Amino acid sequence: MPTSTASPLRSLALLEARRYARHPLFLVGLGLLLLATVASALQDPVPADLLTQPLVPAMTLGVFGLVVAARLTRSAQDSLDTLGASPVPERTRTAALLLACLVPAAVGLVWTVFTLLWYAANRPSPDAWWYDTLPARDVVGYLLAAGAVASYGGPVLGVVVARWLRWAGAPIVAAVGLIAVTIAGQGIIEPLRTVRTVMPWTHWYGGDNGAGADYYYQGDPSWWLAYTLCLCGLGALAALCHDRTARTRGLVLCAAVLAAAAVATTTLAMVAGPQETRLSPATLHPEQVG
Amino acid sequence: MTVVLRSVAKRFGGVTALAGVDLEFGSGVTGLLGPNGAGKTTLLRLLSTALEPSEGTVTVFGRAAHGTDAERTAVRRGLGYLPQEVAFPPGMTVFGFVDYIAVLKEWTSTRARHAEVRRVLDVVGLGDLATRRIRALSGGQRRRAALAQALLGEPALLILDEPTTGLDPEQRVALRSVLSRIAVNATVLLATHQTEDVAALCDRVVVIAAGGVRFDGPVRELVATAEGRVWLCEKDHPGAQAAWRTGSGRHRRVGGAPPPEGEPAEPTLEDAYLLMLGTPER
Repeated sequence: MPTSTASPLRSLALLEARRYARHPLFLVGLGLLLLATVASALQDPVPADLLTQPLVPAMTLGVFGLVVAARLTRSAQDSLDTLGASPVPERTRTAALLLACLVPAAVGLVWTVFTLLWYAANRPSPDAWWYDTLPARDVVGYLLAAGAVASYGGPVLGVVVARWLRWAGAPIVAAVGLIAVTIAGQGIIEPLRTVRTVMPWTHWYGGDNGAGADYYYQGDPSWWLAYTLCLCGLGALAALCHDRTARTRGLVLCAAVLAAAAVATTTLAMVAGPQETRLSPATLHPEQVG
Repeated sequence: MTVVLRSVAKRFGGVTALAGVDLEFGSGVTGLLGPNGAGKTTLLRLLSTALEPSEGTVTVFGRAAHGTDAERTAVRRGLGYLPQEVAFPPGMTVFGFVDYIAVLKEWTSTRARHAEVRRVLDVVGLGDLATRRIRALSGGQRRRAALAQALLGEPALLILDEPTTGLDPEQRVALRSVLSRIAVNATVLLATHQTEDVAALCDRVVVIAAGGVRFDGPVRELVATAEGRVWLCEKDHPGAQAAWRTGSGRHRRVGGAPPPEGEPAEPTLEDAYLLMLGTPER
């Protein structure tokens, strides 16, 4: 019989994290992220569109991670379905998977820190929306939300999908749906620019770089960072709730608090900060600003 | 008694898989025999707590197997289960798979867990293949990897569904040796189509057919039901429940009327099983 009475969560989370780190799709995403980051750093040492860069980890770690996490969740469950019931409850197994999703989140965080430091040392084009042209709080907030948090949120959504939807194609449909909804809700479409902060991923930047017209959209990225963290928390609770034994009053209360916080933070992300779309500094774009 | 079933029934929609089953199992090896679709696997899945009965009660280690979460968890802690088919998580090695299941059986101390995984892999003869990917194993080796996870922690109740499928004769004998050792202190339930495994290993046999218990008793008692109903003869005669030409060229005849020149033969468990199921006369 087992020799320890400690919770199996830690051991299980370590094993799931190892499975995640070895999953072929995660490794493909990681390779693409490294390639894109190195290529960007070498080929464009004076970039003008830094705020678009989190799109790369959001896709390679977040969207790919949705599929990876869903497959890990389903394959473990399929094994257990055949092997009979485990004494470890589903809520603990789900919690272990949610902890394993910290693997891509950690990579996303490292990427974010690298990007913030690299372009602090290698200054981007003076007209770029970055440290000199934006408050550092906004730059850091946006890159953390759109890079590191997105690298966690995608895999968390994958666990949710795998727990609640049994059909095999669900993760792929969810990934495609996530991309479609995110594209449709971007600030590129002007009427949606104010409400775009309800999206789990959004641009804070747009424009025609070739012509030098670099727009910075309205809203407050720091509040949007808080909102994306609330979404991750709600996703984790939704995954845990699949186990009926996990549906305690405390968990429901926690979900209610997080939902209220999500509504509050996304509203603050809309109404706080500048309320107009701004063009990058006038000195470098005289033809646009007259 | 380790396991007690009272008036157990299980229905899947309009199909009744088990009905009115009353059984008790204590230590030792019990063989479950029955044709495909008889309800053996359903019975084992009920005992493993993977399924809930539609009616009746299942008690394991004195606890309701389908009672509160705490009772169900306590039951799960004491059992090992080998299903007919196992879905292995992709990309895992033999060691990785058994280690993963060990964590799901609450082996949280890494050192103790790894030692236990190595032990069960040695027991099933896969110690040398521990680092090999499961997808690279043969069918018999995969079966043994699945068996290894069932043996983790020397469970007090070991439930095995067709454990010898895909094993060669040497491996089957080795498995019998392992199970007979375990059965000294544990309850082993063995569902199989292989009557020779039951004859070689089991103290008791339960024959299940059409969702009900047709026989429950010592193996020798089931064999005794075939006394005087098995013959060896030179020619095949119609009217037997089962008959075939043996390697010696003579015909073995089970059931039906005694053949004119028939020589009574020592019945086997297989003969008794065929007679019990009432194979249609030919």
